[in-house]
Amino acid sequence: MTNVNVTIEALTRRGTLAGVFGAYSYASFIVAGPWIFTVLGLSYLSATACDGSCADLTIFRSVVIYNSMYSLIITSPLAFFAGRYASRQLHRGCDQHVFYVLVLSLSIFLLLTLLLAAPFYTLATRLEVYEQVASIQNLLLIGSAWLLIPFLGVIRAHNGIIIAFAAGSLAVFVLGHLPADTTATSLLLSFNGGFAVTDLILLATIVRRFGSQIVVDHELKDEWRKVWELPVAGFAYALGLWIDKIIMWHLAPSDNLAASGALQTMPSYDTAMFWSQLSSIPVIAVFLVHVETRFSARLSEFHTRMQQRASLGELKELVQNAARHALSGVVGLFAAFAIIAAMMILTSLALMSELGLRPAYMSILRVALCAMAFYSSAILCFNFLLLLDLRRQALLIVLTFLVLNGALTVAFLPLGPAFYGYGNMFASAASLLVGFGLLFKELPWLNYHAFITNNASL
Amino acid sequence: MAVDADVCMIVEGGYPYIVGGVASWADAFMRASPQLRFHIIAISVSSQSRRPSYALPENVVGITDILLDVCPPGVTPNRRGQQQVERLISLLQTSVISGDGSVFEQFIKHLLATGYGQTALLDSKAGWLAMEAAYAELLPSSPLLDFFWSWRFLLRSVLAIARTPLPQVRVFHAAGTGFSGLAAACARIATGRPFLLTEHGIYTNERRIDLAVSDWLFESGAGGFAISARPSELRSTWMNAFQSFSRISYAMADVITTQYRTNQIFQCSDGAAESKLRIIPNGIDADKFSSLARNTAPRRPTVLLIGRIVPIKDIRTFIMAIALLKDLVPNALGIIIGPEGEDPGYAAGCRQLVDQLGAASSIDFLGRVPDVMEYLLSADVLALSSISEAQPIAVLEAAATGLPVVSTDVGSCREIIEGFEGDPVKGAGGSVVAPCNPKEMAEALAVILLDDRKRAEMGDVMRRRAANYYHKDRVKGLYEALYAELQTSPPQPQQVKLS
Repeated sequence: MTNVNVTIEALTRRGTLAGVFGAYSYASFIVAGPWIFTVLGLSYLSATACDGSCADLTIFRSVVIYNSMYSLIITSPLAFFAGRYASRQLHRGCDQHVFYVLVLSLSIFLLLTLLLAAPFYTLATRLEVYEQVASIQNLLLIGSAWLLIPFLGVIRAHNGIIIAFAAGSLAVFVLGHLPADTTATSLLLSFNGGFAVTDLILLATIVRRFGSQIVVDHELKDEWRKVWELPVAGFAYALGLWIDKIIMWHLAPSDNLAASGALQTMPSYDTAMFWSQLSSIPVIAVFLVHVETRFSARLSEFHTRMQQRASLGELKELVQNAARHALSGVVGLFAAFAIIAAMMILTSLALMSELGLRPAYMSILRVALCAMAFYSSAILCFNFLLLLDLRRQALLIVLTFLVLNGALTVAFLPLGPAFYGYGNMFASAASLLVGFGLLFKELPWLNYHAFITNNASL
Repeated sequence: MAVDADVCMIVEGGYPYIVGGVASWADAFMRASPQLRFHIIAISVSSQSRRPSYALPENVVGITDILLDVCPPGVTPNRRGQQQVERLISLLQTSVISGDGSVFEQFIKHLLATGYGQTALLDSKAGWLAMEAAYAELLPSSPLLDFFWSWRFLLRSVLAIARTPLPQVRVFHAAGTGFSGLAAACARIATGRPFLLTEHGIYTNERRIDLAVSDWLFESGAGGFAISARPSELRSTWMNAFQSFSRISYAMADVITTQYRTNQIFQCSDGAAESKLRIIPNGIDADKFSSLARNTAPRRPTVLLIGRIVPIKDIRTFIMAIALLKDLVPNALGIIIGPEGEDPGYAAGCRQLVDQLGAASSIDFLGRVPDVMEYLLSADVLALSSISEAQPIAVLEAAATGLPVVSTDVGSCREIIEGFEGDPVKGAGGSVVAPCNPKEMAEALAVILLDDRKRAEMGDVMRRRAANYYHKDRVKGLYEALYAELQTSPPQPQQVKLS
């Protein structure tokens, strides 16, 4: 079982409401903590700043959106690799290199930020110097959170994660009331303050567990070469998630909002997409708490029985059980995503103003919610394949989505605003087909993968 | 035909890296015919050291290593390749179960034609399905983990052997069946060149002993609690495979030689055609050994054992015999000469047994010595306690120096000591005792050690018999004539085509 699944199982086994609440909170934050924090922080600070039309608020929102994009794309390859590395090291009982890998990941992230993002803010936007500094600081803080979370998942620090985000939210709440004026810089600094508190608590939890001694692992390069599909999958996953938005910001003929120079967004598209993605979090939490954790337990049982010299017949039975559980889990959760999407579509008109939506955004929201059901289900397949350590197959899913999302978004652009979001929806549907097909094909081969593909002794 | 060498000598698990019986024989054999050029195929595993323990004779022109656990990846099968993979594995499975030489021949031809290796036959999904089918047929309900590793090792060994580039030679000469015989059989099929098989000990008998004492094979009974579950028989599957290797070797060999008659009975029962069987004993430099003067200086009554400290030599029986001998021959001394590195755990157990029996002052472990002749000439009896042997060189050399021998009734030891039908040298040169019987060995040693006249007579019988029958020039002549006979048979190139 993965460490995240072990933690969730331990929480749910307590049989208390606090345990169940903790399991769901932990599952949500481990999957999308920084993103949930960003959406909630944006909503709160936007509400306290002004009526939503002031230029500073637009800059603040745009900077946070861009930083969410940058941070996810840059950190995902590192986080995918580092998470697995730390997990393996702990499994082998040798964790002396884990802090080194964290420091290395943070350093690479810092370097890439200075090389790619810093020139964007300084050269391609017309932001004030203070705004530029606060923007880069914001990017570093969001990205650091994405990098720290996998390590906390590995050490099963569910309390650390929940406390960190709760403390960060409290800090944003307090800092949001402090400034007399609501400039973009002050809003960014309030938001950064919250993230800094969160990151510090996350980092302190890791240091408490692994210490702060840096012990270089000279075999890291070999490990990177061996599992190169993981960082590539991380990159494809993150870029695929944002590629349609990047295209819409810069190529859509209408509805674009130029906040400052090249800092352009498209609120009608972004808001609809963000709310649809946020609506998937509860079902993804259910996936982690129930479906993935039980699947992980079945895998663990399979490996234990294999080592205890079970016969092929018994192992085949275990494989069938695990396959049935995974496939029915994907189908069931796809239904749950569809219900959530339907409920959101039905209630969106009533909750329009509370969600920060406008009537013009409604058609995009409906398409985005359908896309969410397909995409999130595809990502469940992606997760199952990664649990089976079938990295190339998992990579194929996110690569399919990346390519199709980019290509179809561009293809639908000339058809006008009525078709915004359709490219993303069709790409999501195709990715789900690919993902489900791969999962359906590979699950019966679990014995083969355990003995041949993933056998470290060969 | 342009050739790289005259003879390709194929040796498993030893020469030129590990000192031992067959390795010593191979080394002496090649040195005895300096006019012939030899190419060596050395079969071992990757974990074994490949630092030579022998200085290679000058007439050795090349060495090819076959590592049984390393085989080439080969061609990746396409979508339509699944059927070929299934057919190949089915052929291999049949030949490993039945030992049918013609099925093995078909397998090798198909394998060479497809270019498949580990990727197709072991690591592909088609290969996995074929393994599942083999599991269902051979050992259903046994632990999959054990079957998987056994199957993988067997297949990888055969693939490593079959895909090894072969030298251009006139004759392939395997020093045993097993993997050596299999390699020579592959060479015979691929090149059409003649295959001479020399079997010292009977391979299947030796493997039976290995499997009986191996602790990596165990019947766990973990095939589940299903009432229909059959007990695991992995050990018998391995034995069956080794037996099949021998049968394939016998089927593909042109001539099969062994050193003594008893072996031929085993060979026939394992499927060797009588028409292929010949006897050629081991040869030693009898003139050199017999010209050396025995050391007559006063000394303790000395019993010498020369051999590796490994279970098959049953050193423990020798130690117990010497401990009993102390009471029959006061002041008797047992000397053990031989390396301990092959099985350090067993060697440590032997030393512990000496202490437990209070025989530390009566037994010396000398390890490897620079000149074993010095000890042969200064001993009173040579003892051999092995539970399996062929025609031990140590016994022949001791015989040539005029040293009486007490040996267990294994291999051709009885023939060497007591003579054989038609032997012009009459009389016994020592005693033959039952294996694993320290008391009988101690008593036989005591009889020889306590009677100087008898000892001298026995030594003389041994010296004459060695000079008459086991002389290296005679043996060399027999082998060279055999090579000449095989070389005159025209090469039979095999058409490697898919049927």
